[in-house]
This record gives sequence, C-alpha cells and structure tokens, in this order.
Amino acid sequence: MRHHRSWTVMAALLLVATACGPTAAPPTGGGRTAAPTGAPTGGASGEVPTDGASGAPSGEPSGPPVTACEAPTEPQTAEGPLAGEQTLRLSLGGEPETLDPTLAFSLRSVEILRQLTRPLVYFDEELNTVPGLAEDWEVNEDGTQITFDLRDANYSNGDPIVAGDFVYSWKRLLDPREAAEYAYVMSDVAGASALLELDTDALPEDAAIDALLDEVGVSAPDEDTFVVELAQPASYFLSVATLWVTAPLQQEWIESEGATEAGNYVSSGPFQLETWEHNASLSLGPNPEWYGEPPKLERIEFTVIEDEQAALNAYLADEIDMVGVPSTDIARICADPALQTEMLSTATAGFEYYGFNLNDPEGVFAKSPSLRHAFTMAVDKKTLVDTVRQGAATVAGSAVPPGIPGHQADVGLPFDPEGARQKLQEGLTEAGLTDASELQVTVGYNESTLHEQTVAFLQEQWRTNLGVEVQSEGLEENSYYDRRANDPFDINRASWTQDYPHANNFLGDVFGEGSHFTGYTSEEFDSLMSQAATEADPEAQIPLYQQAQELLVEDAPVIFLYWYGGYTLIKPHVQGLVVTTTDEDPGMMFFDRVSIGEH
Amino acid sequence: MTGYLIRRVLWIVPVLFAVSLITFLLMHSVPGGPWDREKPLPASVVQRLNAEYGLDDPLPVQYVRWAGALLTGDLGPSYRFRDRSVNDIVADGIGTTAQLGVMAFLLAVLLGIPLGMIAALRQNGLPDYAATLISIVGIATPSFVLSILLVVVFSVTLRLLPTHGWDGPSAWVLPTVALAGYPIAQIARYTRASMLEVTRKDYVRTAYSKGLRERAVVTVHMTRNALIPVVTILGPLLAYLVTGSFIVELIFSVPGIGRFYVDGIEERDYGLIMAMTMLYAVIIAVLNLVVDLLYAYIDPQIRYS
Repeated sequence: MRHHRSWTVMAALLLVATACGPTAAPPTGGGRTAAPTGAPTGGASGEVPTDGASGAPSGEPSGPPVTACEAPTEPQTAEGPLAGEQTLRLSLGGEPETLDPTLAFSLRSVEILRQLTRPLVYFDEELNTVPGLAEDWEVNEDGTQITFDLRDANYSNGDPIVAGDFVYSWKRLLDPREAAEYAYVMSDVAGASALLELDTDALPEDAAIDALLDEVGVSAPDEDTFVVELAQPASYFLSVATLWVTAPLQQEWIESEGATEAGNYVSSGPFQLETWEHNASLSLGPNPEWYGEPPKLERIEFTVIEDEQAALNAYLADEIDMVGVPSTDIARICADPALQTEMLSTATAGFEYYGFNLNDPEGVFAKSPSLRHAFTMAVDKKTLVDTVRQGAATVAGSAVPPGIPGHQADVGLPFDPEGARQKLQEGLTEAGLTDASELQVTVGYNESTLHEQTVAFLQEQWRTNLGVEVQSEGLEENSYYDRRANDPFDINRASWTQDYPHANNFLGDVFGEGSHFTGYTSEEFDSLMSQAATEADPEAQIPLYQQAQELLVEDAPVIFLYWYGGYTLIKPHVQGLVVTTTDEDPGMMFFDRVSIGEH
Repeated sequence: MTGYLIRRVLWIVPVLFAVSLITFLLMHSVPGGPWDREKPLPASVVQRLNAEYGLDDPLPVQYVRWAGALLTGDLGPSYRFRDRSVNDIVADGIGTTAQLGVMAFLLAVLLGIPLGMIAALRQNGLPDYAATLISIVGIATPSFVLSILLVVVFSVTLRLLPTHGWDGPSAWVLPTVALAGYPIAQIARYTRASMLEVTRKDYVRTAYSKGLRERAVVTVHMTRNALIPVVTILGPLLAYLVTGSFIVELIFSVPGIGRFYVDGIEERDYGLIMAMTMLYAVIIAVLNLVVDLLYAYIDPQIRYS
C-alpha cells in the first residue's frame, strides 16, 4: 500500500479546495463529500525496484512455515506451428518516463529501449559479452584503451550508424546540462571524472563545459572505428558498454522536437516504435533496417496497467500474454492446476539488505563488529523467504547473485541463534554496555506491506534469538531515502539491483570508496576492487572479487537477506523465450527470438 | 442576480490563491525531494537538476515564478517525464477524465432519480425494498471493491468486457458503472426521502382532490419540488466523481489525469502536483457555483442578491 500517504495528502489538498468555496444557500440535505478511499493493492512501481516485488504477502510472517511454490525456472522450449498473428501482448507498470536512451532510468523504459536500441556490445544467453553494433574490439596491453570496429548497420530511417554517433551519445551522457541519472557508469572513461565531480556550488559556463567535454576520451578516427580511452584499467568496462545509455544517437534526430514520439523515433535495435499513446499504450514493430536476423514477432504491444492486480486480471481474461504474479496471489495460483503449468520462477540480479549506521564512530554498531554479527546471525532468512516472500527469492549470504561470475553460494554468516547470543555478549562489552536491555536500536524502512512484514519478522527474530527489543519506523518512500542519506536509522532497509551483469556492479559500485549510506569504508576492500579492475583475465579477476566479498561478509556493514526472484505467468503460446537475470519481463533481452504458437 | 454572479466568480480568485499557496507550502514541507531514489544520484547530478528546474531558489521566488507562468497558461515542466511538459500531460488525459466523469454523472442521475421515485411511489412495496437494497449496497461498497467485483464477473469470468483501457464503448462501461455506483445510491436515497416528504404536502393533496391523475400529480407537482434537496447533494457528488476517478482510473487503467495526481505526489513532481490541485480546485469551485445557480432556477424561493 505504498499509495497510502499520498492519498492522505491528496485528501487534505482536496478538502482545502472544497472547503474554501463560499456557498450561498446552505444545502438542505446533508450530502457527504467522499474522501478517496485507499487504493486496493500495492502499486506496481516498475521503477528500478525499490522492493523486490511491491506486493503484499497474505500470510503472517510468524505463522506456520509455508512450502515455497514449485515452478520451473526454464521456459518451455517446444516450438509448435506459428499462429497467423505474431503479436506479443505485455503490460507496463506505468508510463515510461522517457524513451530518450540517455535519460531513461526505470526498468519499464529500459525494457522498451532494449528493443529500440543496440549498444556496441550485447549479451548471449549466459550474459557473456558478445558483439553488438561492434563487430569486434581490441583492448590494448595495459587495459586503458578499447578500439571497437563497427559493423555495417543502419538506423530505422536508413542512415548508416557511424562511430561519430557513439562519440556524441557518450559525451551527451556525461554532459552535466543533460543531468543524466546514469552518467556515473562512464566514470572510468578518461576525462569523465572532471565532469562528474564538477564543483556543485558554482555551475560552470557552457564554454567551460564544452572544453571539458572535448577532453573526454572518446573518438572516431574513421566512420567504422570508435576508440575509448580509460582513465584507469577497468576490466569490467565491456559490460558497461552493453548498457542502453551507451547506444548510438544521431545528434540531428535526438535534438529535434518530439524526437521520442512514434513516427519520429530513430531506432538502432531489432524493433522500431510504431505507436505511443501516452499513459495508455505503446507498440513496436520489426525494424526493417535491423542488421541481424529479422524478429519473428510482427508486433509487441505494451499496455500501461499500473495496478498489479489489474494486470493479473488482464492476463486471466486473455488480454495480455505475461504477467508478474503479485505476492498476494502466489499461493492461490500455485494451487490452481491450470494456472500452475503457466508459471515460471525467475531470478532478478539484485539483493535486499539492511544496513547498519556506521557514520557516527560512537554508535554501537560502529563500535562493535560483533554486534553486527550477532544481529545478522540471529535472522532465519530461510523462513523469511518461505513465508514473507512465499518462496519468491533466494536466501543471500553475500552480494554477488547467482548467475554472475564471482557468486559464492556458501559465503555468508550462518543462522545460528546460539552463536549470535555469544556474539551479542562480546558486542555489548565492545560497545561498553553491560546488558542487552541498554541497546537502543531503531530499524527504518520505506513503507510497503512487504517491508512492514519483513521488519516485523526481523524484530521477532531479534527479540526471540537475542532478547533485544528493536523499535521500527516506517516512512513514505522519498522521505525515507532522504532520511537514509542524511540521517540514517541504526538499521536501514535497502536494495540493490543490477545495472550491468558484473561482480563490480554488486561490490565496488555499492560499497566502494565510502560512498555507501552506512558509512562503510575499507581500504582493503577498495584496493581489491582496483586490483580486480586491472586484471583482464577472469581466472585472476574473479578470486579478487571473491576475496573482497568475503571481507565484506566479515566486516558485516549490512545484513544480506535475499537475492530477488519472482513468479511470472506466461501463456503457453509464447515460444522461444530466453530468460536472463536482467529481465523486467522474462525474455526481454531477446524478444527478437520470440514467436507466437497456434492457440 | 448578475451582481451575485460576478461576486461569486471573483471570489474564486482568492480561493485559488489560497489553495495554491497552501498546496505549495504543504508540498515543500514534506521531507524528500524529486531526486531521492533507492539508488542515490551523484551530488553533481542533483545539483544540475535543481539548477535546471530552479529548485535551488528560495521558495517565495519559486512560487512567484510558478504563479507568473500559470498566468500565461504555462504549467511548467514535469520532473519525472523530463521531455514532456505538464501542459502535455494534462492535455493528454483531461478529455478522458472529463468523459468518464460526465458519463458517470449522467448515469447516476438517469438511474438514481427514477429509482428513488419508484421506491417512494411504491413505498413499502417490492420495488421500494429492491431500490432500498440497491442504495444501501451502493453506499456501503467502496468504488474499488465494486470495480474489482465488476472486473472479476464481467471480464475474467464472463469475458464480456475488457478488463482495462479506454478503447471504445465496451471499455467505457465498467469504469463508468464503478464510478457511478455510489452517486446512484445517494441520489436514489435522497430522491425517495424527498418524494415521500412531498407526498404529504397540502398542494399534493389538493392536486389529487382536484381529480388529477397520479401521473400528472407526480410530474407537474411533485417532481420539481422533490428534486430541490437532490440538487443540493449534486455538488458533493460531483466532487466525489472528480476525486473518485483516481481509484477507478487506476484499477481500469483509464488513461486519464487522475493517476498523475497520486504519482505526482509520490514522485514529488511539484509542477504536476500544483497543476492537478489547481485544476481540481477550479473544477470544484465552478461546479459549486453551477449547483448554487441551479437552486435558484429550481426553487423560486431562493433569490440571490
């Protein structure tokens, strides 16, 4: 029910509006002004997820253990005869904020941009980097220069895709005047940090910005060659070059009025934008100029359905072909013999965690690592996942999720109430306390049914296994992020979802260089990160990331709870889905391979 | 009368000013801003965005700039939908929201009044009990419950109507009914009560004793008088239709503007919040005025001066 607060504010505003109007004759009847009632279900945000699935499990967290729902993790592979109409119908959790690749940030926009754009490098089914618009590339010896050879490919308007378009789009991403949310991914490019770390008090003149942009290490010696100079070696950089924000842009097009509207959109991906009725629907068709195998689908229709329950009903009424199962409905659908066969269990690269406040050196958690261990080891994550998440997640002990090289299933502090109590005693001494009752701890979270239940579960675990009473405080979403960034609670709810599928994005980008809200800093961790960045050979690189991860687990600045997962209903006639852990809707990275079977 | 009208219209101006000022202050006093995210944005990006949208200026400056732009018809930029203006967003959805509201209003009046009249004329008969039952259920059922019920029955189970969208008449039916449910019940209840009261009036007895037929008594003598109290609740009901559309638009994915009010508040999209509040304030102020004028037309005893 993340709408709750907003409804209250809105009702107040409307009361102001209605109450202020002078009325001539007082009405004789006693009519009631109805204030809006709360929205029925948790709003599906579609945002780069703030909670794994914004739904509300029905079971009480402390109730009897629920058997997790059993569903296949691989989509059915059999391909039957094709249907006459090759249309894939999907729902979008809200209006995409923009289809400008430089500015887009939400998963729902990214899902569409993955169809409309193609970067230099792409993925295969296992998320290994493979050629995209670059046919080939070469990294120099010390890992500071990458030369991409572009393939012969055209935009949907028939113009050739040239190296200069990459130079333009990469600089545009870094241009502070665009204020792009994903500009940070460019930080390893030579000259980028000067732009990213501009003095925020005095905004420089246009000329000064242009001069800095000229210094950025991207160039096009000829139309087919794009060269990137890196400020320091970054072995993960090819993964960055797969992001939608790095796709080529024709300057003349993106700077024109209404560039992102249907009819004007210039696509470099397998599909092109056919229609976009704002706030209602959007449709894609094959890009006739696409260099690769032509897509089998003639059309992908996206309908904006904000309410996840409404999306489920649309699926049940056969209006859409795929839908994420709201957590309230997992048990019911899992028990339905007909629907059960259409269920797919999916994993999303990202993790849910709770971070300790280490900013104040006098705080109990900053003083005592043992206390952090105690609070971590006292939590039975398995039961949490089975009850609160109804099995739609994987218990996590560390950061790098399954499927990403560097993942370690067996690393993490165990659930051990006995050990936790011992650690608690050590911790109390370290913190200069004598009794657990002296601990004053508050856990903060952004309000949603899921987080409320999770926090209630955690409180119960700490009460039962440690004998510590922890207070809780829920805040509305943006208020909470503001609070967490500036004045964190003792323990704070947080999540991380992948930008690019590489261990660095789960370790260095989250916990590196003292940038985390917990205030965690570790020179050893940072040095392992930079060592790994210089190591191009995976054989040598991965152990370094794993070493850093083990260090993180030992330092325990956060409690890792689970890696995200979920259930999706998919109509049996959807064929050829290739599921990856970067998906918003299963198969979205490879919709060009999907077809619709007869039904 | 003209003087009254002018005064009432002029009154709307300070009302709108007060609404805008209160909204502006409330909105900025809520902690958290438009750039707060689960993944925090770099400080330089936030600074740039604040500068671009003038959010680093003092609040009075921001307010004056907003009000100045409003006078020229410019509702400002949306922070979330960065390549669209609030004008675009409002223009896209207002027609749909208005259509939904008007259809629900007409449905409520056309069903509610006859329902109430039948119930009153057949007091304590079967039609009365049926109508009373409908009213009670209608009043007690929140629109989101009614909406979900309608979808489950007519879309998921019977597959007669689409679950969502706004493509043509078949998609209009369920949202309109869902939104009209409560007003139908209210209007029916008021009409019934008021008709029963009028039935016992002397002039009605006189009309009957003159030998007029029931139809003539009802249409000529009773209806107009009985509708006066009903008109008084139309104002609040119209306000309900405006505010209630938020929920109905959400559940049926109707591409109106109601949803942007909720989303705007969640995203701290200040321009969008201000625009929506002002829009609703104007609509409600104007509707109140219209309803007041309607009294004077229906009830000759009311004279504005």
